[in-house]
Amino acid sequence: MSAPVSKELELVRRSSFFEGLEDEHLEYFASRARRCTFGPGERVIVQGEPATSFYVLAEGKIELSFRKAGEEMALNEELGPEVEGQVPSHIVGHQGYPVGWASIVEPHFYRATATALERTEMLVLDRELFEAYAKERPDFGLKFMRRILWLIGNHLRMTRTRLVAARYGNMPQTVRALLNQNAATLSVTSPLHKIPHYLENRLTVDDAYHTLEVMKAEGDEVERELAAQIADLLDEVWREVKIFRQLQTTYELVAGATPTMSSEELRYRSCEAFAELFEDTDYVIRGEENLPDAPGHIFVMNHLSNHLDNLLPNDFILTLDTHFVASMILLKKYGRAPVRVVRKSDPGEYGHQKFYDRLGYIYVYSGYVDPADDPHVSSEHRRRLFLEAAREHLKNGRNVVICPEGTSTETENSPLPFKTGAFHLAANVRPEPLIVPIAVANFDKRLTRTRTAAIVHEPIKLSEHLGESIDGRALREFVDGYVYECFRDYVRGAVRLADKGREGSRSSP
Amino acid sequence: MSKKKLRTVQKSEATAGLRASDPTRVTSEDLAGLAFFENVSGWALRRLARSATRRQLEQGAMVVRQNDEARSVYFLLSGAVHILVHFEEVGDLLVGVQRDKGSLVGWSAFMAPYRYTSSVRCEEASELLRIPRDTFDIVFEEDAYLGYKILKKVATTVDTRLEGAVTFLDSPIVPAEL
Repeated sequence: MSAPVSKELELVRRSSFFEGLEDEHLEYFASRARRCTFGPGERVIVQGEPATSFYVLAEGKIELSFRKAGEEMALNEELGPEVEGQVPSHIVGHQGYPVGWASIVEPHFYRATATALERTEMLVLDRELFEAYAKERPDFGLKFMRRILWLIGNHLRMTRTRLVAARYGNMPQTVRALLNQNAATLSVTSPLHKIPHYLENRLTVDDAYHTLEVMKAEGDEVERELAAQIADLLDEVWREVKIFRQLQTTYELVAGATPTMSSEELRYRSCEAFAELFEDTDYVIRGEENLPDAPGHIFVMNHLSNHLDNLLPNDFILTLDTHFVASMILLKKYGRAPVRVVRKSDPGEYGHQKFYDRLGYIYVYSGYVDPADDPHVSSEHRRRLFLEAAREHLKNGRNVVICPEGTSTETENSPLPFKTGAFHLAANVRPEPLIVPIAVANFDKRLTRTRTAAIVHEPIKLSEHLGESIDGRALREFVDGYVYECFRDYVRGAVRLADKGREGSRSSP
Repeated sequence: MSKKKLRTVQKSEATAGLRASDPTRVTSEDLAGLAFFENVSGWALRRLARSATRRQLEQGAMVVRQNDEARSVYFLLSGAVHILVHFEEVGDLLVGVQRDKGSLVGWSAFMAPYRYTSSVRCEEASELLRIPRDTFDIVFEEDAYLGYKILKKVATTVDTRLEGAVTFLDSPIVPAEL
């Protein structure tokens, strides 16, 4: 009966780096390897420090980053060298990945910094072990150095590809370039050739993921290694896929809900689903101390366009900024989802209508009027209907979210001029609701590549600015002047907040 | 290595030794003068030198081409070479420049699948020393530990090139004009 195989031996046997080395050598190293655990944020190796050990990733995920030659590394007393200023590299999560070849290669200084992104376990092999064994078994030494060359060569190709792609191309092109760089060894029938095509369309990215998983497990040596490299390269894409899937699920949650489920409950569930989505993104919220203690107020915000990557298969895009305010600010503070004021869907916007109908949002009309909504009703009457519906929600202690621009734009152009509807509403409800300004930034960018920001500002009590009896002209001037000027500063503030360092991100003050 | 291959290499080594006045001839002293061959034993240097040749190349001449079979290793004796990598939809990009005496060119000859991963072109008139891959294989077969030490030097070269790639490619670059 054969002896049980240790975890360490199993790991090095599976690692593509050790491929082609005889089992007796693998057993030698596996039995002499130490296991080391690193917590999130902890450094495994630091660029520029003496390279004394070679590591093999056993569990977890690490980020490899490089500092350009000649750049000084600032020291942070608590965390060690700062990551800021380094050329961002890539995230590695495949078991058996070797780290720290500089321990084998002169001048024996680590060439990169490896940081654990989660709890990470590494096998550790000391440099002297390799040196002594290569002297004792030069046949091993020769083969081992060929594997080191293979490893550095892969990195050289990968680095060139990534840097060139970052400058010139997109992800499908990056993968295509990587495949081309390996054309000499990759079979022309390999399913990996499909990956760039799958990546071209959001709906087939899942197929890319699946193909890579299959290749990592069942491909030949070249395919396994390349699949692992591509999967690491696409780490950001997988996060985007996850967000897209969450958007699809949230849409289905609302649009496909049973008819008996109330709008109130659906709004709550939808907000919960969005909160889950946003929790995994890089965001910052400030000014929550400005939120009124009790609900029943009007929240006005600038409205940002959506990134086209979030377009669902039915051509509907869920607006991210308003859902962020609803789920991450208002639901968390008041425990109740707000009601939003949304544009009435145009003909053909089936997805839009299906979603908002179920949420019981208040419609406003921008040009198109559904015949079912009575074409003979005047715009004045429609405004009255809007005021009545909104007033009812406010009186019942529900918050109402309004984007006064009536349209959306990019962060850089935000805010656009405001319409006065939200302020008319405040002037027509008693007890008078507060108007709470919220400025947002970067929701028009890809959520995986930006930091979003939202700042709640001091509420406005309209009567304190315009008195109890408000005429239309004074209101218009107030909105165009005071409110709009304030909001321009507010949005710039949100942009600055998003641009700030990571300190304080993903949190409230 | 097959006997036939070994015979061919031995024959070319013998022929090279006879051509004392050949301007392409390389001596073990020539090799010993290059940093790469520091601490390499005399017998190995003599063996490598016998099959080595000098090549004088004009500005713009190609030393190796990307994806060609890597049959030889080159060392720059004088001049300068550009390292170019072809990227689909982008073209040939300059990814490095070598101008130091003794710089290793064509390291892919040390590693399967023995295909050059980049093209190398003379930036100016250059002299290079060429050593067939097969000769290195013979040396490695005779002394595997020496092979280990030589490959370690190759690894150091490629590692330095990797560090250089980050700096070089992160600075403004233009597609090379071929």
